[in-house]
Amino acid sequence: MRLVIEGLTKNFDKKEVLRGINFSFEEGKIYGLLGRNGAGKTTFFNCVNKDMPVTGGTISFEENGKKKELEPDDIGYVLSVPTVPEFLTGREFLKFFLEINKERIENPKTIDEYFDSVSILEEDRDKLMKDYSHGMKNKLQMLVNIIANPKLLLLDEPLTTLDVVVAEEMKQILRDIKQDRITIFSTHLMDLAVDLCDVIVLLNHGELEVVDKANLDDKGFKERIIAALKEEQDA
Amino acid sequence: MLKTLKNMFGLRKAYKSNSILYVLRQLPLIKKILPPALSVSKPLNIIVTTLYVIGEILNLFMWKALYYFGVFGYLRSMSDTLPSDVLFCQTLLICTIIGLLMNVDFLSYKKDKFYAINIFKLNAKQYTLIDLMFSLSKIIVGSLPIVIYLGLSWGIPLWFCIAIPFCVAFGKFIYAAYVLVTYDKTGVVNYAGKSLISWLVALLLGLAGFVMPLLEKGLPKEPCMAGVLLLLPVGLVCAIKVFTYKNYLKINKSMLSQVDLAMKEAKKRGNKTIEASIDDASVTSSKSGFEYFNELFMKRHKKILWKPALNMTIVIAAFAVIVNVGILFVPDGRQLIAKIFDGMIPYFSFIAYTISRGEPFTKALFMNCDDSMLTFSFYKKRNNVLKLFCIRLREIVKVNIVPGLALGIALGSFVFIPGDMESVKKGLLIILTMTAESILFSVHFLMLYYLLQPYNVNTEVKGVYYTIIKLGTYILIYLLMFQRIPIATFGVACLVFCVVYSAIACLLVAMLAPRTFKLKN
Repeated sequence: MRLVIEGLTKNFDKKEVLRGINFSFEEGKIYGLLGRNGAGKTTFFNCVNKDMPVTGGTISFEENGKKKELEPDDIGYVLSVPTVPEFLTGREFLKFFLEINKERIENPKTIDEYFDSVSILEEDRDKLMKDYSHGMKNKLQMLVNIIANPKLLLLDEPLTTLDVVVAEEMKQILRDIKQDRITIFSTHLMDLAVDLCDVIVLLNHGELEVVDKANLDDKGFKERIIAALKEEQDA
Repeated sequence: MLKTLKNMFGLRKAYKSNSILYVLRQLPLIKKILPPALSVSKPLNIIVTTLYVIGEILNLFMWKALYYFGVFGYLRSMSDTLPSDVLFCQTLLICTIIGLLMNVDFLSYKKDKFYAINIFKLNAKQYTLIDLMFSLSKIIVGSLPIVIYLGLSWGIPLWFCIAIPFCVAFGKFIYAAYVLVTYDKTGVVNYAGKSLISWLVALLLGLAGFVMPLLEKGLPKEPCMAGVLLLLPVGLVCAIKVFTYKNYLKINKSMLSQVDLAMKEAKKRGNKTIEASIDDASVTSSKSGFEYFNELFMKRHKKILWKPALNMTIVIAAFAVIVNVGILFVPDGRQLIAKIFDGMIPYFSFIAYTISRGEPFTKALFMNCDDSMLTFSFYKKRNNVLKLFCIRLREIVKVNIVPGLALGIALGSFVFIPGDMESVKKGLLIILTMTAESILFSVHFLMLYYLLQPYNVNTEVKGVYYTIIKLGTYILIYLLMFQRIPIATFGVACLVFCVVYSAIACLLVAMLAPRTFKLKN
């Protein structure tokens, strides 16, 4: 399975943010989408998630040579600021989520097993989510996206504001679930992208460009990315 | 002085023009033909300036016309025997005093004033005085033709008609001088409409102005005219204080920071109230799916959804009891009260609109629920959007119907005359009408929320269409207040409208909401 982007453009008035992107993302890999602040990473995600109409181009899945349009169930979208309904407890939210999506969840586990999988403590499971920490909300948001088992997982700078321990836990979760899906992880933190991702993609001048990791030590690789990003600034 | 005048108009024009441009940028068809750099486009600037001037001219005459023709015309229809000139002078005096207490454009909060004094450091005294003179000139120019037309047709001499706008304008100096004197003594800016006493006096005067024509009672014409004319010399004396006052910078800064802080606090408090309204994790639900989700939401938001509706119901019930008991002590009280309320049902549509919990309901829905849930793709699926809409419609109707029904029963009891079958029919129709209106306003707000989703992440209303429709609805219902329509006609028309409107609204939601109900970027 591949996510195929063809001629994707997005303009805000006369400003071209995405300029005819042609790219394909492959299953089983974590893609690190790198770009400076304001480069258009969130716009790209919003276009893929259909939260924003595109100016031109198509986005589709390709499986066994056949193209298929993206359905809402195919996409999981984790935002940098976790958003969970604060009037519910963690357990109530999961119960509701599992009931609504019961037809598409294969081999469902118990609610407590799901909590265990992201290390949410027993004492926190029946608290209202308005009293959850940022990290706990983030884990829960990630958890429901994992349970839904989407073919495409979009992560918009999800680890930027987490503490070291939670960030490491989340990274491990992402590595564990990367098979059978395409994961695109946007960040402006280069070290994080290098550490976690299989492929680094730069959003440069409104276009996507792969940075080849092969035959480069860490230092050389980072310098190459910085050079590319600087070029973006100078342009 | 001339420089300040130029700067004031420049700033005001820039502020209002930018607001017009912002609105134009939100309209889909017009947005497409507008250039991206709006402010540098010369033809567009001409259009915006023209719109601004048209807006100012409309503003100058429209509100005055609405006020004079609306209030005076309404009161005329309340009385059968009171001579027009007596009614005119009495109403004029009462309304002028209310205006002096509540509506003086002096040291009132305006955004452009905030920028001018706090940021651009314009001369505060000159700015305030020019601003005051400008608003007084608008009163004179805007009122004069309307008062002359209305006054002459109601038998008022021309010289008095001409004097009225000047008396009203000069009267504003009295309150302005009072504000300055009290500020020097207390350090608090009592801008118009701020104090509770002003509100109480205005309310009592308003009540008197409304009840007297109903009882066919009028104040003697000449003393009323003298009272209005007296404002001219007293206003002139007070104007001396206003023009010689020195502490305008200090008083403006006090007022601006006072109001700015109050506005920020109110906004913060409003959001906090909604956030803090979630309580009681021990509340449970035995339902499943969206019914489970909804039941928990409703149970954990009782404080902001059910409590105000129940409080309002208690107030209405108490009012109904007081009136019904009170009329027992007035000879022919029941007949009198039935006559008063017979044509007033449109007025209570406005009350039904203001007590509707539609907007707080949608705000709580967005802030504590949809703001987060709309980021999940399953939540945005067509079936789920519509399923939840139906559940929410049922819930909001349940909340609104309680005070709506109470209002209907209260009004129904007022028109009831023992032994008169016609009055029973009227009473029942009123109950039905008020109940239908509470449903209508529930549907209206929820439909607007689903079709226009006006909130951004800070729960600020950002949708221009939402604002326009809300304002339009408000104006329509406000204008309805001044109509005297028989209960039977109004009730039947209202019921038909409620059914048709609700059906169309639900159809629109079914067709469009899956596309329109989303987060605003």
